[in-house]
Parts: sequence; structure tokens; C-alpha cells
Amino acid sequence: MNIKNRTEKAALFANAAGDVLLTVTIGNAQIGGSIVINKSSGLQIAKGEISNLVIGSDATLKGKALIITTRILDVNPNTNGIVVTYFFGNATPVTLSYNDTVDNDGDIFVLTLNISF
Amino acid sequence: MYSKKVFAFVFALITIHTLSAQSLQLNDLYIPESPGFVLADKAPSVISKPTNPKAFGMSILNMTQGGAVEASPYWFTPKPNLTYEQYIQNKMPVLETFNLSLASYKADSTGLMNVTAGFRTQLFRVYSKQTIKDLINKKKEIIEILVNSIDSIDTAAISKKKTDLNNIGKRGFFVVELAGALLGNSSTNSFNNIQTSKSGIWANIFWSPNKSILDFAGLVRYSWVSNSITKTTSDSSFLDSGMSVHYQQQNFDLSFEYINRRDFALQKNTDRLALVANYKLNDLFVLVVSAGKNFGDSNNIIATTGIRFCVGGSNFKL
Repeated sequence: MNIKNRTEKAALFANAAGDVLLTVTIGNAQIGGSIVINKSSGLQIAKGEISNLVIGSDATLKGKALIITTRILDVNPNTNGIVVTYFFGNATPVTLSYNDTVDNDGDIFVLTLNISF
Repeated sequence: MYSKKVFAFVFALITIHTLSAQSLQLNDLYIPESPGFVLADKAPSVISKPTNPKAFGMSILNMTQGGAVEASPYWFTPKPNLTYEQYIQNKMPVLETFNLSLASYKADSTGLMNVTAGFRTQLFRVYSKQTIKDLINKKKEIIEILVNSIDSIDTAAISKKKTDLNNIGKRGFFVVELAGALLGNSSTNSFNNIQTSKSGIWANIFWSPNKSILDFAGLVRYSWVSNSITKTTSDSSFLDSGMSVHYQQQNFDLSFEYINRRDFALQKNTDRLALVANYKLNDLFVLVVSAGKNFGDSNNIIATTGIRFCVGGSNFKL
């Protein structure tokens, strides 16, 4: 079982309309979960399957940074392709999507996404 | 002319993807039960078990006898919204399991190469409620381990859970699969003179009950011979129907099949009775032993022992 690591970064703008919400979708019928950490404080905000997680408002997020570590196990015998999509409610851009592949069935893909507001 | 176009189209589709599949690794290669091999009676069992076709796969009979390539176009592109739950609860995975294959093999009698083009897809697949529940619970356990610590991943625990997940998915489901194939050959070994010699379309029904050590399969197949060299009667057509019983352990698979064949040209029935055993020696080799009686009244003893092997390693599953 190999582990493939990848690091990405993105800048987000929170809308004034309301709290920023995060949903992480693991595609290609693979299995995965995420760990969300407030980079500034080092505190863990959530872990596991992330759905409509309240990240904070425009005011509280300005100048802050998050680290989202998503770990995906390749369980789909049809493909070694990995696709993970981050949906940000009340933020721009609304989605960030990343595709990759692992070498073998059963390998783990780790995406570390650094988000700055 | 029509058959040439079919062979050329499937070959082009698979070749285009092969050329574009820069990430293809040796371990992506595995042995499928190609419909072409099944129709040509090159597969050990007439009634095959449902498989999970890779986006791109390849198998070889041996280096001189031919081989097969197959492709599942659905998996050529990422599916960002297809979650694990949606996949296992989809009762009509026609696109997900649609698989095209192209195979070649050397005819025993003439020594000429034959080519086949085939497809297979699952029209209907349903897991039992218990299996769905167990798969989702196992998925949650895997995620728990994946995100347990920010500093490290317990790969040994993950590996064990994945094996558990695979084992759960092997039982408690019902599948209806549709497959078809064309066989073609050329008397001059030239692609320009290729002609369809046999065609067939069939349905496999496979049931794996939760609380049983046995799996059950059924087959209905219509096939017809065309362009035969010696025409004494009208081209033959056959209706095959039968069933098989499977017993599977981790590295061992035993199946017993009975098929009745109606030959419409000869107005005659004949049958096949076979016992097939597969033993997985390692990730590369599977020992195949089959014995029994084949269709027809003469030369009908099945007694073969062979090794199936794949080019890559970790994907050989019984």
C-alpha cells in the first residue's frame, strides 16, 4: 500500500451574505475523509466526512488560513483515478476540484489544501 | 464489410485510449473473461461470473496464442459526483460496467489468427440490504482510521479494513449481465479479407446469497455461425441455456456447470457438463483445471490443465 501526497493552495473570498460552508465530495466511488485545521490557531475544526461545515463569516475569516487534509483510499476496482471536490458555500470560487491517480488498487492519496481568505 | 467496420471501430477506440493513457501502469493489467474468448470457447467456463472491468485492461493467453484488450469508456473521465454510496446503490450500472473488448487467438485446427470484438454490461445489479449496511459501516470504519491522526496513517489497519470491504462485496448481490461478441477470421491472415464466422448475444444471471457458501448462475445465449467455408446446410444457429453452481474461498474457486444447446440447423439437442477449478497460485498465476463433457457427440471430452497469467501484479482476483 503506497501513499501518494500532493499539496495545493487556493485563495478564497468570503461573501458577506452569510457563513462560509464547506462540503468535501470524494468522487469516482472511492472512500475518503478530511481533517480541517485552522492554520492560524492550530486548532482542529472537524474531521471525517465533511458536509456543510460552518467555517466562519467574512469578518472572522479575513486574513485567516485553513489546512484541509483529504485522505482517499482507492477501493474502486474499475479505476485508480481520484477526484475530490471542495464546495464552498458563500465564498468565491464556489468549487475547487482536483484529479489524480494512484498506482495500484488499495493505495492512499493524500491532498493537502492550503486555503487563505 | 460490416464486421470489418466493427472490429476496426473497437480497435480504434481501445487504441486511442491506450495511447492517451499516460498513467497506465503494469499493475492496471489483469485477466478479464472477455466475451470473445467465451464465444470462442477459449474461456474455461461458458457461464462466467460478473467482473469489475478496469478502465483499461489487457490479458494474454500466452505470447504466441493471442490475447485480449478491453476498455470501459465510462471510467476514461473522472466522475466527481459519484460517491461510494451512490455507486453501490445504483441498480442499473449499465454505463459504469459497459466494457468493450478485442481479442485474438490462434485457431487450433488451421493455425490462423482469429479476432473477436465483444461487449458486456450489467443491466441490473442489486446488493442485499444487509450487504449495503455492512459496506457503509465498513466505509465509516475506514474513514475513521484515515483521519484518526494528522501525523500518520495506520496503513496496516486500512489494508485489513479494505480486505474486509472486498469480502463483504463478494456476497449478497444479484446481477443480470448482457454480453455479445463477434468472431472473425481471414483465410489469408489478411485484415482486408476478414469475415465474421460466429456471433452471439447472451445474458448471465448471477445470484450470491448472503447466507450461503454457494453462488448460482444462469445463462441464456443465442449464437449463429456465418460465412462457413463448406456450406452443406443453412448456417447454424444455437440456443444455449444452463446454470452453474460456484463455491469460492480466498484462493480457490470451484464451479460446476450444465448447459443444454439447441442446434436449429440440425434440429438436435446436445449438452455440456463441466467442472472447473481455479487456484490462485499468486498475484500473477492462476492454475485452471477443467474436466467433463463438451457439446457434440464426438471429440467431446473436456480435460484441460493450464495456467492463466497476467502481465501485472496486484489485480488478479478470483
